[in-house]
Amino acid sequence: MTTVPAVLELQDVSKTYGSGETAVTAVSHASTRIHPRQMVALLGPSGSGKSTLLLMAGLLEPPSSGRILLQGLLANGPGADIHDPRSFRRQHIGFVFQKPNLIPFLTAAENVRLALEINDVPRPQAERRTTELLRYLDVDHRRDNLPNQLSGGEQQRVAIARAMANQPPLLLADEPTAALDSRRGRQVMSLFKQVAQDLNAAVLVVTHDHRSLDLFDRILEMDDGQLREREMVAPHPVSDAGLHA
Amino acid sequence: MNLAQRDIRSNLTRFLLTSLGVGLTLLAAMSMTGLYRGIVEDALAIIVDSRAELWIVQADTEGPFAEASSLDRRVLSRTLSLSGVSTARQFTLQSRRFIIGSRVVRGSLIGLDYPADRGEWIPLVAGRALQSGRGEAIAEESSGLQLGDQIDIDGTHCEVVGLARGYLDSSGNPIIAVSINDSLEIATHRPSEAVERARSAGRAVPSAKAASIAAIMVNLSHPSQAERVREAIAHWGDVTVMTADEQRSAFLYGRLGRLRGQILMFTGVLLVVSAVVIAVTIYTMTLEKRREIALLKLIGARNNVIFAMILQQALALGALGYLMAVMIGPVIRPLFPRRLVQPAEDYLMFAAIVLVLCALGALLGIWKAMQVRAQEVLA
Repeated sequence: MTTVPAVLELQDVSKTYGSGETAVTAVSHASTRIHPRQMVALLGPSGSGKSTLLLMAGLLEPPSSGRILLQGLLANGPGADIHDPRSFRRQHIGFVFQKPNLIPFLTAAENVRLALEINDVPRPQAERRTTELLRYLDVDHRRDNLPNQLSGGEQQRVAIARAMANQPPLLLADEPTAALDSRRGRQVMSLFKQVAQDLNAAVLVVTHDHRSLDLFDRILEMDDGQLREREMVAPHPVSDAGLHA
Repeated sequence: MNLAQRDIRSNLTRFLLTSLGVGLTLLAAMSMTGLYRGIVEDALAIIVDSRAELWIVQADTEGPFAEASSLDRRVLSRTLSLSGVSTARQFTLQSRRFIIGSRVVRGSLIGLDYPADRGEWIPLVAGRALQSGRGEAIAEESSGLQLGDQIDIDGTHCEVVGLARGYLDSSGNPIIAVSINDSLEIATHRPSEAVERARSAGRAVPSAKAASIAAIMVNLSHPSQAERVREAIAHWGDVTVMTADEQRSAFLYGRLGRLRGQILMFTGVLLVVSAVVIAVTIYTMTLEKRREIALLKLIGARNNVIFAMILQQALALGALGYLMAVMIGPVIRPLFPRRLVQPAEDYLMFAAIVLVLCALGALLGIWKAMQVRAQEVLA
């Protein structure tokens, strides 16, 4: 067993929508642990519960049962350590989506700086960090452009910069390459890999893109609400991530 | 980072057009109050400017501004003999048509008791007050008359010696002031055929000397005498005596009552429409930012960041709309057939109303924003 503490830990987590005869179980008794520097893919057909799992991991939906721990803090249920999920997300979780979801009336740099300013980072420091991130993601030359003036790949890189702004230990991505061609898709996945290493972050990516799976440390599969781990051909050093689906 | 400012900047044309829409709605409401004030001010001009403290009018009437009033001229000497009376002036008022050049102008003719009353209380923009008991007139400029023009009113010729501005009757038509002698001559003028027929039928022929006046305006030697003088006049029995305030009320709540009510109702409706337009505009602006609000929540923005964005935008919209209304107002005001009066307190009142409406609209938007869920970004 590894001694590295998990950034995200799901313990027997289930989510059921509705009740009685109309109840639908989106996630059933899912358990897993994701550690720093791990890049984990979450695969599965549409409607299998991937997005619900991501919502629960991002503290956007409470589970119906089970426990979610983020950096060792209990996020739900009686005795929860996290009382203000929004504040916790601000500091500890970065999100990237299929659509970049940049704020259309802010420039690329402002979109990144916004994430820092709402986390009370002083303006000069926020400016500096924004420039660093945009350079790191190779979009600094487009910093003063509005989102509609950027290509899809550039927008996605700005979105990643925004997600990374506060150096969150957990990055959650929902099909971030779905709108990109295979070359750019692979570039974005490589970027996640690099971010995981550089930020010492755990990255959970919901994806349908099988062409980049070799970049992931682990692959989780969802099927009809059941979570299971797919065995990797070349196991990663931190491989006993405690899957108990 | 000011999100409201950034949003406005990136959609500037749209924001300006929306503000213009709000501004025009406000302008309609402001114009309506201006119209109301204009009507009241025009209607009360003579009562207020003449500074008469008491009005003696026909018995059991509310005076010449509310209904027809006919008073024997001899009441003047009775009035002047009362102790406590400083001055008393005869007054006539006729609603009539004037032929000015080739135009027919509707208006009112008032008769001033020259030399006791030379019309010095009429606010002139050019010329002078009356200096003769015959043949001179002070005209409101919208009549089209100029200084030195000759006007023939039913055979009585008068030269325009003074021009007044904003001196209109309750219908918004110009007032022309002449001496009481000229006004009574005009009032009793009949075509020669009518005079001949009256004579052959043995009926009395109207004459200026025997004509009646509409009212007597009384000023007191001291305001403390008002009650005593009033009581003395009331005891005569053949007249009614009213204070300036009573005269004012009788006019406003009597003759102008329905018109005032109508305009106030319209003003109220327009204010409600403005409120709805502003609230719906801000609400729609919030709805359009639903995804951005969800994203802000997702990345952990505090509620005050979202509130500030909605509130600042709402206030900016209101402020700009208000400024546009204030700037467009003076341009279009002269195009209205009736005078619009917009005192400074109205501007302040509307600024306060806009502020409140925008704040309420923003509250509606904020309420909607609170219902937005962060996960909507994923939808």
